[in-house]
Amino acid sequence: MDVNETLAGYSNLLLYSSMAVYAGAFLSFTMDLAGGTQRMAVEREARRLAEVREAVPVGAAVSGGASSTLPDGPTESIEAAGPIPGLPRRKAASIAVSLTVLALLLHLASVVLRGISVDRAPWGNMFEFSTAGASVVTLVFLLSLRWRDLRYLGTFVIGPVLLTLGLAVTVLYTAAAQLAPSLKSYWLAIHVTVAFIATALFTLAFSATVLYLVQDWRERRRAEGGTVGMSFMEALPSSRELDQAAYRVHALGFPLWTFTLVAGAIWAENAWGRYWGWDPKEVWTLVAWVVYAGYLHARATRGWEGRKAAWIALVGYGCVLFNFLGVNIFFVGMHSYAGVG
Amino acid sequence: VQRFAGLSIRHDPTSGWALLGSILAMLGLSLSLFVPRRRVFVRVVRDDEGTRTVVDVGALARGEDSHLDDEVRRVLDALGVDRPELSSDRKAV
Repeated sequence: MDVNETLAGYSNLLLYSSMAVYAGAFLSFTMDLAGGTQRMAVEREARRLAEVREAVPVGAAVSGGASSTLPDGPTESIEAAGPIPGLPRRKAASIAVSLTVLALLLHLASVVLRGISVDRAPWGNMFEFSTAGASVVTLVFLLSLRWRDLRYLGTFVIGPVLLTLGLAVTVLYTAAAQLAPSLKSYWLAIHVTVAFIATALFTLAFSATVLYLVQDWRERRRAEGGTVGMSFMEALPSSRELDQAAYRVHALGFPLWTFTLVAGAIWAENAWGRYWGWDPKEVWTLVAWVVYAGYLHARATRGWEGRKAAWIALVGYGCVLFNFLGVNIFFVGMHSYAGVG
Repeated sequence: VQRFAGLSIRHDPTSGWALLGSILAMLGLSLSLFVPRRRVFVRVVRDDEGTRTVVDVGALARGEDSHLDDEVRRVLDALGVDRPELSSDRKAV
């Protein structure tokens, strides 16, 4: 029952340190983004030259995959783009990624210490859930960098992470404590872990959707011959790619969200003796599930692409956010363990 | 106050079935999300002079399917078609 106060104190210190480092990473990402437009022009030129070189059959060994030499649809052009020699190195972006790695290490150490100090999985209340969840978002982002150069997205990932942590230490802060006896179960680890992986995926998908809408708007404006602002968007993939990326991440998050719902019902049966009690948290999880199901259906069976579907996804994320923050603050229910409001 | 103990005993014989149902439902959901539904058509004809064999491969996706091109390419490879001319008209059907 006891709580190791010393470790909990160290955990908080580590969290503050990681926030400071995150702030540095955020600044570096922003600086990288600010220099992005100019670099894009250089990069496009270099890529064009590289393509010209590949197209010449004489002697030149093609180092890229065979797919890049085939005439192809529009999606391949960016995916096949590897590092191109002769480009200026993105120093600010490299610094930002290093700082993010450092911040994540501090952040993870903080989460682990919190867990050790209370001797359970460290996601038992909203403070713990948001700090641990934010670390998952950063982790997913860093892992996705190995797959593709998404460093331009850094500002839009680290910014919200920093905001979440700030919210966690100010509004949501809860001192290290034990859970209500009925909630002590290994289902805490299963249900809540999957819940925040799903939430992290929906958050990433939401970012991609917002960027898609902006990119789509810019592309339409340009097609009409209008001027468009936000030149840093040049650095991001085309609207079509963003749209597809958003769809894929949503499709990945949805089964996990479904599992959260099912595992939650099992845990509820276990702890409270019923699967489903129309508790506000349960209801809003279901609402978000229905909206996302609508999104996937609209795309898969009705062929809705782009803007129409994107708005449904935004509504879905609104429900997820409300489920996370609003329900705990405005309603009293079985999930109001947060100590907020 | 006299000391007392409250006991609540429940037995739910359907819980196993509920679990089985929900596992099957999630399995079905994942299949429907991650298995692409495609139709692939192959047409083999002689050309007008009757000297060459022309193979047409077409693929149709239900909803969106960003790997449709790869599917066509796989079919072409399997058929051993040389010098394929690729074109794609990406349209959701």
